[in-house]
Amino acid sequence: MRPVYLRGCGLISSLGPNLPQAIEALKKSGREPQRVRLADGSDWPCFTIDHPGEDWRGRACQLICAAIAEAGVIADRAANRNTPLFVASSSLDIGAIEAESGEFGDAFFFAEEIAGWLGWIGPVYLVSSACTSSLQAVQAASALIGTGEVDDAVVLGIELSNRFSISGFASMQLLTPARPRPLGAGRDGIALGEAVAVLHLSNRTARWRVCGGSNLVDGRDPTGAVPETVARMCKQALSDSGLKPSDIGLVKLQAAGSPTNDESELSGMAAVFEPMPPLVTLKAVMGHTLGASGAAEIALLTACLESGIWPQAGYAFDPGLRHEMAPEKPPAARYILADILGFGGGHAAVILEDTSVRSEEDAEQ
Amino acid sequence: MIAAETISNKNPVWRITGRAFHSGNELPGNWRDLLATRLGQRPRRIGILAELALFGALDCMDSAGEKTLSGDTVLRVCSLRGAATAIGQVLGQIRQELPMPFNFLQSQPSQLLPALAAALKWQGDAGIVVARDRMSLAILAARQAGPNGMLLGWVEEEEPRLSQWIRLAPCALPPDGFAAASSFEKIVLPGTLYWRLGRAGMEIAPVPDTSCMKAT
Repeated sequence: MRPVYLRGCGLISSLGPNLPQAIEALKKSGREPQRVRLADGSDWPCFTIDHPGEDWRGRACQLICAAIAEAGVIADRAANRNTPLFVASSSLDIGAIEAESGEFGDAFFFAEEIAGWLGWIGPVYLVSSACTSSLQAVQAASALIGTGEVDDAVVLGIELSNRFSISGFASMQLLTPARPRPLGAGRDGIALGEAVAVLHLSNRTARWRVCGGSNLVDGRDPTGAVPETVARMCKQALSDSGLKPSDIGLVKLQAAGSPTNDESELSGMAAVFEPMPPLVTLKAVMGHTLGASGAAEIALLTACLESGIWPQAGYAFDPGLRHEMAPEKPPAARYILADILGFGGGHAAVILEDTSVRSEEDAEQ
Repeated sequence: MIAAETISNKNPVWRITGRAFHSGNELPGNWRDLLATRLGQRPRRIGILAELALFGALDCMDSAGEKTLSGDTVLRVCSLRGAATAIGQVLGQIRQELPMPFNFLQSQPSQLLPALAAALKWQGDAGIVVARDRMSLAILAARQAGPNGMLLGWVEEEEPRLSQWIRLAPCALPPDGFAAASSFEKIVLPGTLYWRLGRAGMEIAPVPDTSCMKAT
């Protein structure tokens, strides 16, 4: 298999219109979520993107084109007309259908509409496996690059405003009424967020290498994580990457603030990692961006590691969990496991290598 | 029996071991009753899309002579319209300003994955991956397929209603006579038994060969 690198990233989120501004926002402890009111008068926090747009589709087009440009895809894409685009999303364009009073028709239409906005020539895939969609897309793209089918692939994670998702999560009593507190004492639910995230994967060398990953669906719980499956997910990702648990220098958790899921995730991790590597969660600062979350959190995490700016929780952690978020950037995390757990019994992880750390280690030897 | 380890990882060959192609009028009128009988009870808290997926996938597994999938099998499902019925219901409930939608979980197409995993008593790499071009999906699945092959499904609630499934297992001693497949229809024809990925895309071979066997 050929190596796969993360050649470029783009991210538009509640933290800002690009990664540099997201890092600047993190320096100032992030941004407060907005409130979204539902028909019954209840209102819920949501990490929305501060971008008005003319209408839902016009706004989506502007955001996608901007994120693609930030990832540097347009110039690179011209080199290979077979470059596949993987659109990863849970809610697709349901926000536009709500606004237009339209009917839901063809799920793939939205992926084709995005391809049209971008003038995309290569093949287009839609991955819609709920929260794990983006990480599944990264794995599919990596398979195509690794086997030599293509040299480049682009993953676009997108989750934009709609009442459908907020109403649905509220109906399942999964939302916090305030700000989410992943791993926090008294955590009481998740907050959703908007994101448009782009990962440009390539066989050409870059700082971040995609080492491998795993994707497991467990039928025992269609809405939550299963500790044994979390452990198996980690073991498979490590095996796929040719690594052992002690190689992992940082774990980017799913941890969204759910009372039970955060605990299940840590329980599964503890069965694999002893001692536990430093942990980080990004959902306190960006919300849960559902199908986009895998790509959005990889984009933000790599930017945090490159800049040295580290997200701060700003609340007390739950001592009962026995593990908490690392207060600062780990000094030399060469291998990073990033996981997403979600609806549909999804448990997915990818492992990234920071090749700049390898270079330092090699130089020391 | 030839061990799976002997199978070339560089250019694996897959043998079609099971098929179930239900579409439109070919789908039994009482398919939901048949599924309930098969499962021992009516499925609870899943929508039409997931029930259709279960019906076709289990039929395909019967055709393959398998009751469960091994862990290293890849499961991919494509649905262009997704859980359209439940999505329409949730949209209607939101437009009527009902406080909470009742069918949200059923509106998530990914819910068919744990339903399949539970019915197959399996845990593994499953996903909803959609493309208009079915051939490109087959190629992508083959690129990701594990040592025990793949189970691929195309499921739509309407226009027309369908649940089409194909099970492919690794083949240790492939036949000669592969030719480039010109269309998706060719690769799922009853006379097609083998798939492999060539430089120009999917290649197929029709020659029956008893030397290939399913990995267990």
